[in-house]
Amino acid sequence: MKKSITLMVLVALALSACATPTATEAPKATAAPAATTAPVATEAPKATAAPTTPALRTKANPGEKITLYHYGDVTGPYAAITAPLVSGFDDAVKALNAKGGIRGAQVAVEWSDTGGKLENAISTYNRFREKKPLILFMYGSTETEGLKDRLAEDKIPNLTFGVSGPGSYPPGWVFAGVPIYSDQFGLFLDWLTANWAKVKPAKGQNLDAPRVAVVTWDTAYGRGALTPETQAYADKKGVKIVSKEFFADDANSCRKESRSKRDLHQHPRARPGANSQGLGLARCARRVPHRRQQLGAGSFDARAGGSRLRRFLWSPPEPVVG
Amino acid sequence: MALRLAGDFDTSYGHDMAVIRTRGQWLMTLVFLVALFALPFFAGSGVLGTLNLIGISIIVVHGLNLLVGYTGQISLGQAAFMSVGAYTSAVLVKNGVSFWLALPTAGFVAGMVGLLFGLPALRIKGFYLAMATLSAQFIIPWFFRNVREDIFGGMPGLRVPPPELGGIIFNSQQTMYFPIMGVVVLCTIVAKNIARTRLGRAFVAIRDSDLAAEVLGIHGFTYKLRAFFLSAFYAGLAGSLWAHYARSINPEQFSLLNSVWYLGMVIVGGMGSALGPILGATFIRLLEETTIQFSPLLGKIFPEVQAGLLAGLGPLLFGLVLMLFLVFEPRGLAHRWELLKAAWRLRPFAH
Repeated sequence: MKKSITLMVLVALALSACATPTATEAPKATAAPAATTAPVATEAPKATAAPTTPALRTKANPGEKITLYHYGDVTGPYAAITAPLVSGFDDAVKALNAKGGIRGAQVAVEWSDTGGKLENAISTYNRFREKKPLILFMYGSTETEGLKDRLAEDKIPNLTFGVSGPGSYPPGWVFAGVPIYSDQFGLFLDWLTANWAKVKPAKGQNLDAPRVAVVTWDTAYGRGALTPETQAYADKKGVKIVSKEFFADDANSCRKESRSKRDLHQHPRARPGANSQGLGLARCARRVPHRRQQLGAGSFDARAGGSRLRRFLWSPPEPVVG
Repeated sequence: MALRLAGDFDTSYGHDMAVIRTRGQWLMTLVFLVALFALPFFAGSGVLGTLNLIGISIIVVHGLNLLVGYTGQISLGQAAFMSVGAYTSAVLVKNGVSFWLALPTAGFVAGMVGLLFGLPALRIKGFYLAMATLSAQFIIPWFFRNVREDIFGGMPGLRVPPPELGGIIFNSQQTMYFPIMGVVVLCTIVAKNIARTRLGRAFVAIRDSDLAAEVLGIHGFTYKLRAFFLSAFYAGLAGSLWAHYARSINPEQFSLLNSVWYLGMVIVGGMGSALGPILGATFIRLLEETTIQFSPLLGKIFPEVQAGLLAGLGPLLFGLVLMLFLVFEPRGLAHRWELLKAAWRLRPFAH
């Protein structure tokens, strides 16, 4: 009997606790726009029609400070990419402050490491959100995708460099700092087809159209460029994607998804080494026949591979970054 | 007040078996529960976000503790079972099923998958079983990454809507706190009581000596399977809550490293104790939070050092603290808590 009463009390307590915040939380919940709505677009008319819009200040108040918040994976699987970006961010801010800051206001930076984990990204976001940031900066696709709805609900603009399709579309409060991955791949295909006569490998002189193999991480980030849209675009441009090589983020494995073995061995190919990570990329690259026909590198650099990777990929001819 | 004084005897079997025995303990429990559920009205979203993550970890670790701590079976696939719950719940809710129904279903489906991967426990144990459960950590993410991308979203994963109840959308740290903590409280009560039932005692018997347990009439294989089911069930519940809390899931989020950390939480908290998972998950999560916040602070103190190098100090500190902890308190924080309670009872005497 006592157990039943205890259980009932606990359930009642939990339900009452659940019910109470309705009044206080309701505005937040109802105000939350769906990810499909574009808050930027809806607010635009306000700016043009509202006479009450405060005038833009041309000069900062004395001692005014603008804090920029950024966070990314500095110790996890993407550290090779993100850590230099964090350092570069600091350098850029130092240079900006040396020139007088933003209209006289000095710029401060707060950053945090996520270790490549979404739970850390959410936790950091909660912490930064309480400081009412003007803008946030992020570097990871997973983080961007995971926080996209929260950013829209909290109306915090976010400049991201983890530019996967699901993180960027439909538009919201996430803004891409560089073209999204599928666009980058499309641009590479544009360049490749336009310059095919010039960069055609010696063994592929009989080919009218390039054939491409993709070597990338087996992660959401790595696969960011391999969308149905890019496949359709490659088909439209007459470029055949003959092989997709995926390596795990621990850089110890390599998995193949090729269209046919015949395709791989009969024709030389150009290969965009998308989003490289040292050893894993080198191992996968080793499996692609005619590997010295490297034409494109990923959206970021391939430095992580060091000399070992460069020996594989950047033997003559010299690479051309797509 | 909360401790039993000399001369306070049990007068019935019910009283003897009760988890909460004195009025003082009842009062403290009620105050704690009221404080727990009143917290969102006072705390900021940063604190609540951390508590939500701790809460989800506690549920997973409770499950793992039933398997590892009570039954003595090793599992390295807890994160994979969590992913089964997360995907089950996400797919169900996206197809119109209520979250409140999807939550237990996710637990059940994860439990069944856990049962499947527990089958090798019939023949193997120890490190061999660990390797067998490790296969779950490879097979299950592969499944979600490559099979039926139209349903599971492939590598990019799925976007998951927040739970709803009577017009309330649970889309903030404050609102999500209630379902998460509600499940934490229920799971803790169940975990505590499982250990006190015939089932729990059979688990402990198998852990201590499976041969002796068989001689006593305990069918080891079925009980081991039950432990695997319960462990994965808990993971499935946590996975469902995580999916709707994070609102975006992909196979990357349920890595082998996560499984190892959950195992670490069980060890740090104290195996075979209902309090252990709470202490272990809280300790490790807070340690991680602290190191994350500590690194940028170091950057301010030593601005000439590269940011990446300083960030590396975080995991270094993390590993160091864990190592020291395991050397000096291998029986876990729960044991330390018991020692503290005993010292308080016996004061001013040492023994």
